[in-house]
Amino acid sequence: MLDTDVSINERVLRGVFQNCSDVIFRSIMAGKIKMLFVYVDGLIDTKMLDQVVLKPLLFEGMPNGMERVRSVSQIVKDQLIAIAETKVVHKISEVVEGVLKSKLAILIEGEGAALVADLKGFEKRSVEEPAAEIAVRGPRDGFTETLRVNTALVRRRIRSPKLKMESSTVGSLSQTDIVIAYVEGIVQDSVLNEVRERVQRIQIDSVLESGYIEEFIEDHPYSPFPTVQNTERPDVVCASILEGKVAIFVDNTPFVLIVPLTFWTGFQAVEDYYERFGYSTFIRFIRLVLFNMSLFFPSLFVAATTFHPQLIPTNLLISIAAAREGVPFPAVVEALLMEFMFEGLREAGIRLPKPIGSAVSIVGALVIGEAAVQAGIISAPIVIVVSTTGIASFAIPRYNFGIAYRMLRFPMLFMAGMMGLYGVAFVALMIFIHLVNLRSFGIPYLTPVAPQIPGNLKDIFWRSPRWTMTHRPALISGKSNKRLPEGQKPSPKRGRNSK
Amino acid sequence: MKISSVQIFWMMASMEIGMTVLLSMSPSIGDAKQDAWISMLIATSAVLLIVFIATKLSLLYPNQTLIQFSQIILGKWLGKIIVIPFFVMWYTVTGIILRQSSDFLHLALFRRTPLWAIILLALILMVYATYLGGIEGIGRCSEFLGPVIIIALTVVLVLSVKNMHWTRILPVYHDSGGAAILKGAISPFSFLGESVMITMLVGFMSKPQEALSRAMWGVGLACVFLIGTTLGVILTFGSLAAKMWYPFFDMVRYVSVMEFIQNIDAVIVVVWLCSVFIKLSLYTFIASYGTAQWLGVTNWRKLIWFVSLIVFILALVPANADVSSIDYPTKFWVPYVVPINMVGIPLLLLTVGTIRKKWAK
Repeated sequence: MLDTDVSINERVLRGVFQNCSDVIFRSIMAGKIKMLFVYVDGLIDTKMLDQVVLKPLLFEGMPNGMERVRSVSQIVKDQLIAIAETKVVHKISEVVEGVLKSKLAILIEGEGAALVADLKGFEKRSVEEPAAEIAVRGPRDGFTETLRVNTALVRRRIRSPKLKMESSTVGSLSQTDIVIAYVEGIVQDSVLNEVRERVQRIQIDSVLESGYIEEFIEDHPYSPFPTVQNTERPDVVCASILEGKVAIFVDNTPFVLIVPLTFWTGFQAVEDYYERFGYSTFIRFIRLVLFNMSLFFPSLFVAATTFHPQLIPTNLLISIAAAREGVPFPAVVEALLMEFMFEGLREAGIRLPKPIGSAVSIVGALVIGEAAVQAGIISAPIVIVVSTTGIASFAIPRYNFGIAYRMLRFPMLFMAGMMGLYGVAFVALMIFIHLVNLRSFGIPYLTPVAPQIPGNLKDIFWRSPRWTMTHRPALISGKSNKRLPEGQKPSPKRGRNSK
Repeated sequence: MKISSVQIFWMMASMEIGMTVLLSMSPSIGDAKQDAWISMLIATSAVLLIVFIATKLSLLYPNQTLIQFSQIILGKWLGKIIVIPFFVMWYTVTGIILRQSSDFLHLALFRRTPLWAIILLALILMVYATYLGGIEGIGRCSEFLGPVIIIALTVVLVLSVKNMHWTRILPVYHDSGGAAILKGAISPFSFLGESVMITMLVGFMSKPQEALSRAMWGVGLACVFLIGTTLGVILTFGSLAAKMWYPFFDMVRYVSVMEFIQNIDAVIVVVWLCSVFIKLSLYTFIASYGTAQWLGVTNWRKLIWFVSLIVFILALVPANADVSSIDYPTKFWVPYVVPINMVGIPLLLLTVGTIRKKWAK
């Protein structure tokens, strides 16, 4: 409990915040009354503090004719209420909590209470274009590290009270704010309850990124495939929750989690929905092909050259064989080496500071592309195969999907080297069986292809015109899955009187 | 574990296509020569009848499997005894399919790889699929792989059109005659008759009332492709096909388009592998689940290990491909399994079951 004597309270608080150089204690005399301001430097809008709170108190003193008012805190509260949300607290622990949550605590002589005012004002990044998901056409705003900015970006797009945002905190030390957002009436209750339960179940000391949450709530922790989607784009979050999915905002990270995730989301880029559907369909088809190439191409090459040369047309086979002449390694080893180097180059390119990053790729291209081939250590075809695979893996719109496939390429390559096509088919079927049995928050991973939901295929292998997508995905959304009324195909005749 | 009617359709279709197209064709052409496609038509109608009987039987007790309703129809002990032939069928045929498919892979792709390695990989696949997903997972696999198989077969047939000469089916009927054509129908019939396993599957359906039409369509689709590929093979090779081990496969080898699409046989092997994979997983599931129900074991997954061990040993038993691909079908499957398991027991159960239901009313 707070004491009426401010100096006693101060001693206790100073004890709590011992060695916390960023916690500021400021005593002032407003008239004859001693006041103590406690806040964390850098988390408070000091300009606001000086001008709106301190200046009136110091220079103008207490407002006249206020003797009959119950307490000083009442006056301060009344004065402050104009600028900030204020709360009266009575416990030391509440004061400490308020200070740590970037609020201003005001303790006043003679009263066993303190005021906690919300004067938040820390530095934050402005809304910028998202770095991980880029679109030529589409909104340019991306999430920032500030939770409230992020939720506001979503609220601005869905201006309906049906958009709910439930907040909670996770992490015994970090006390990170988490917001679960969904659209009431569209979301499936079973999924929502599952999300709530899984988030509440988390016991951890700190949450520094949404990846922490992801690892605790995902369905299949050992699977290489992600069952939780992350995005930096507010429009993706809006589109997803309008399909009945649930978004999880975590403070201090621009990455928002979306559940449930299905396999096909991996091929859907935001721009598909902003460009004309014909082009989107075409691009999606290319993506599907590249996606499979990024997994199968090196292994098929190895299998075909070592086990089934009859698969390759004769002329091509001759040129491959000629290029491979004098290369000391078998094709598998060569492919594994090159894939390994490629992954290394990519990692080096990402992690290094930008100016050096480009140097890495130049060196990599020169050394491996030119010198190694000329020296006869590796063959030119494998360079082509590996670089094509690399390009193919970059064409996957969702980064974490690409990671899964990049990893699975290696066991497949290994089996291709041992058993040829049969090995490739074996690994492919193993992956397939795994995928078929995956679930994300109760939703089968391969819906709507397996289990088949015929009406929902409009957004999977191709992108149908918007006026034909009248229903939301059946398994994902709850009861009301009607999106728009039918018969909206644009035509010059529509709307006119037919004569 | 529930399966949808779409899944039943694709399960039946994709399971039937692979082995039938690969193995039932050449004995049939041997008997009926260029009229083998008529044999296929006869086999198709006979098999559709089998499916009809089997599905009608399982619809008497739509939420139960063969093991359960046979005990209701014939009483506990008699019901348990009468399904023993089915266990014999399931266990042996799973082993034999595993062996036959591995033999085929061995001959077609890997002459130097040890046979047991091929068998082991296939075994891992089927155990993984069955253990992880049960009938639901297998259903989803077939739902996805089924269309892939159908599309691939269609593409291959279209690509082979160039090598076909329609005069090779002439003269129709004259050369072989009715008896030979009927004899030629036996082999495809014995393969397609495996769809009697529907008695174990209807119990899992969420909408059993759709079982009859979907199962018939599924088997029907497989039959259409069987007839199509048989015609294709006859049009390409004539009666020469009877001397080939895998005539359909050789027809694919013959494909050459624009000097570039050649030797696509290895691709077809992979597609065909998908069909066999579904068939093997289905048999593994049925054998394990059936055994569990028969013995009263609650966790049927435990029995997968038992089943797969037996299947692995059975697959290694035959000395060579002749034993698995010729002796087993002609000496065991056709004289015993076809009349007893595919015709006799289902008909008996259906008759007794229907009479019992009538009496109960």
